[in-house]
Amino acid sequence: MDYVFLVGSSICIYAVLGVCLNLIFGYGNIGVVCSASFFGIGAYTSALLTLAGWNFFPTMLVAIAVGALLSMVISLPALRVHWDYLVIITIAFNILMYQTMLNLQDITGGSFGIRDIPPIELFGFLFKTRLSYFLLTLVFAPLCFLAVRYVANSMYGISLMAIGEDELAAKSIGKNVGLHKIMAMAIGMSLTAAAGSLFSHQSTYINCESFTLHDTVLVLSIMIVGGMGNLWGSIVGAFILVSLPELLKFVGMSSSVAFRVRELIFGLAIVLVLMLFPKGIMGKEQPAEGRVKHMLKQKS
Amino acid sequence: MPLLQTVDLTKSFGGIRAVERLSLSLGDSQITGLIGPNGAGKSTVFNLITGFLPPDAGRVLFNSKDITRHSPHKLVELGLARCWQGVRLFNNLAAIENVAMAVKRPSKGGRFSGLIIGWTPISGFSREIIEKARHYIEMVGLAGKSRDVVADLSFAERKLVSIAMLLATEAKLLLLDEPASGLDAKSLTRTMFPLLFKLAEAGRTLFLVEHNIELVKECCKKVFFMHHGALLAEGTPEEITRDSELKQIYFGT
Repeated sequence: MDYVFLVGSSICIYAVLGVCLNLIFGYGNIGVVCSASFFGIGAYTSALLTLAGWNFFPTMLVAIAVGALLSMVISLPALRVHWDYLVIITIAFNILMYQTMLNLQDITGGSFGIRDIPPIELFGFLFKTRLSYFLLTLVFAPLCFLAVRYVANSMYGISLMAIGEDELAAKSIGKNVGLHKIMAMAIGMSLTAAAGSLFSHQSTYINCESFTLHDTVLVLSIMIVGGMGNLWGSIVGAFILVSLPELLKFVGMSSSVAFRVRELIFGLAIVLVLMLFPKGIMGKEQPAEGRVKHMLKQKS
Repeated sequence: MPLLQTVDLTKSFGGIRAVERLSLSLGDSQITGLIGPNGAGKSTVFNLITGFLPPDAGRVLFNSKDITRHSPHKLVELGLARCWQGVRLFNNLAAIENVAMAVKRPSKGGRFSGLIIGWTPISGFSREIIEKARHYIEMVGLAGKSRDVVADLSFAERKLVSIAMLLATEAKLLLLDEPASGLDAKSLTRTMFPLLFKLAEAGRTLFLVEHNIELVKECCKKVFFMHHGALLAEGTPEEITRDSELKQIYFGT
């Protein structure tokens, strides 16, 4: 049962990562491929600070601040380069951050990682068990979802979506494209770092192998499979893509091939889903009719 | 004082001189045309004026204010807006939503006020914005199609939406890139010509890049003729179209 709670908490955390990426990539069409790095930065921040005696919640706030500030490392170049090059730059950033985490052994413990991370303590309650931690993520994830949804449905979010659709058209009607993009990345990556700060207390241990390019691709897949531009989709995507590898562990196979076959099936599953749902599982275009009717009916 | 002035505007792409020391000025509340053969540099001039391309040299003055190298969104706020040849719209949104996106927001102080005001819990657009959008859609004659997704509209209708969006910005100076292209004769005379006149009468200043000589003769008070990046002539449409040298450049004989 503890195992189920573990998977459940992972689903919640990765759902947040997917939702954050969706705001940047799905809405704003900004080609950012380095979620795992900000995830890791948040994780290391919280791990190191709690080990230094801090309470958990302030460490999450620090992680958010660090995530927002560091997002400018990729958002400022993002304003100057073509979409394709931004993808390359962010992939490079991901690799760079991983190497930094790997080699700054004195701080991050390198591939040995950081151990004995204290459990979260809030309002005097110690979140020691898998169940309590899972319930905590079950509160955290919806809060993040609602925050991102609020942003996405606000005037800012609508403008961001327009920018994602046609940047030149958006500029010609007075949208400050640069500012919108910087804000999108600051919001998305700071919440990603917040999820990371929570993640570092899932087990008492983290290491850099959780923050590789492979992990970023997982977040990307969650967003795509769920449906780009659809926040609920990222939740569905996280549920499927986090639980699938776990479910496959129960399919009996000779251990020498099990891992590889699981990866094969996982990849196949993604391909099949996208063949059946080209725009993602929840990626159907929202009919304008309903939206406009609601809008025009609003105050007449 | 002319509303818009360019002073020795110059732009090269590699070895190609796209715009060569171009100086022109536009009068208030008039319709002015910019014509010339393909490759003359007309669209480049538009991009230089509206901040989509930085000039190599020269200045652009709007209301006597130096706006060279200002970003496009800042220019829209100052009252200078452009639309695109071939029409750029937000395809998955309805016509009224497109126009609502362009409606000028009240700027209550500070660069970040727009962001803060934008975070209202009301989903999407406020009542005032929707009303204004409706007004502009009616002004271009698309009231019946305001709920249609623009991807489903005809090309002429899409053009009208983009003009409605321009109007919504409340910009004083509107730059229209080939408003006649793709329109049949009926749409031109029944819809586009009257619309352009209506805009000028309402106090907007229009600057058009055009290939359609009929529109230029019918609507423009003054015309600039460009060739190989330089301003060759300026005058009334009659003067320009009568000139034999220009005729040879443009039409070949």
